[in-house]
Amino acid sequence: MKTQTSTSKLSYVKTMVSLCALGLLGLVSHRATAQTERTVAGKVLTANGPLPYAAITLKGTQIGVQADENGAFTFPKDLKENDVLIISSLAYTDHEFVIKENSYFIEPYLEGEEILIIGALRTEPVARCTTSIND
Amino acid sequence: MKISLFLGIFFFILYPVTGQQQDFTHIDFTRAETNARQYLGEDLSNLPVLTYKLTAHLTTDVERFRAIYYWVTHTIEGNNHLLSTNDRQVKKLRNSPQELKQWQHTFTAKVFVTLQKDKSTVCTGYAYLIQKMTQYAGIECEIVNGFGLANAKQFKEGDPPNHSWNAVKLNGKWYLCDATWAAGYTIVTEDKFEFDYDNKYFLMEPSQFSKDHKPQDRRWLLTPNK
Repeated sequence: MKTQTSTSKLSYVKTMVSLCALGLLGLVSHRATAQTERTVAGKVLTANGPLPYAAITLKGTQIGVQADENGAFTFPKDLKENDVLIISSLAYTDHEFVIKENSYFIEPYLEGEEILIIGALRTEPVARCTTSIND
Repeated sequence: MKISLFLGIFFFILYPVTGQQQDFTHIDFTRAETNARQYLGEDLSNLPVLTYKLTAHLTTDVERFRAIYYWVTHTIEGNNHLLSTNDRQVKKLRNSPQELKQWQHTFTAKVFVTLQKDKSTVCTGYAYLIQKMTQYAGIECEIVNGFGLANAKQFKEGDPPNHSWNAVKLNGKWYLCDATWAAGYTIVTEDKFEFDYDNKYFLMEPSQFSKDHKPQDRRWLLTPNK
């Protein structure tokens, strides 16, 4: 009688522990899934302040968004850890931003490129010669 | 004897004129150009994606470069107003180096804002766009600064550089091109640009190119006797 009661109690405890463990696992898994995909917003910055109209693209895709006149953006697709965003703008070096576990609002920084502007525009129409080889 | 004469004429007269473009006579650029024409209305809001659209379905580097070059030369207008504004300011500030440096900084920003907003620019803008898009396509490309003989003037020693063009590496070999002069011409008196595509500046033979392009860095002459 005593042995049977001990066995039942042990069984009961084992069952409860297993159920709790499963419950905990379920909770942890749910939290992990909730953390992997999220909406990412941000502001593109440079040495001279926010960068209007910068392009933000998910690397390897054609999915992207243009920052507004204040350099602010919300990425149109939910992102997960280790996704890579390419931030680009004319006269700035492209910046690759890796999404981290806690990336929700990001502020990628772009370095300006050193460019010397010079120019001599053509002022005559193409000469139409009868012996042109390249036409 | 007659055959030898014909071959001699072919290789020594005709070949040098079309030398570099002739490296690709076996390539049909129809697909590249059709692709480029499909996207002529696109803007510059996302250059990596635009470049992908222009080049992803093409199978050779020269076709990818052709699509980019065709798009740029048929989309981007020359902006004479920007040029003449800069010329005036540079003349005005030539004895004030700090103010001139500040102007150049402001002007560079203005050039790129104008390029993005209006799809119009000056030579360095064209060359910059060609380089950036070509690099996105995984092809080596450089901006070459130097002297362009615009309006049939003579090269003069000591003149500051006045033009930008590109060198591009295809199949391990460097080639030259000038997207600015290929795109069209400006009616200076009206400040008006006309598209007028000139194909001769696409991978032009270096000794021909050097008749009206003199690079600051002589490496970019690409001729045997530099």
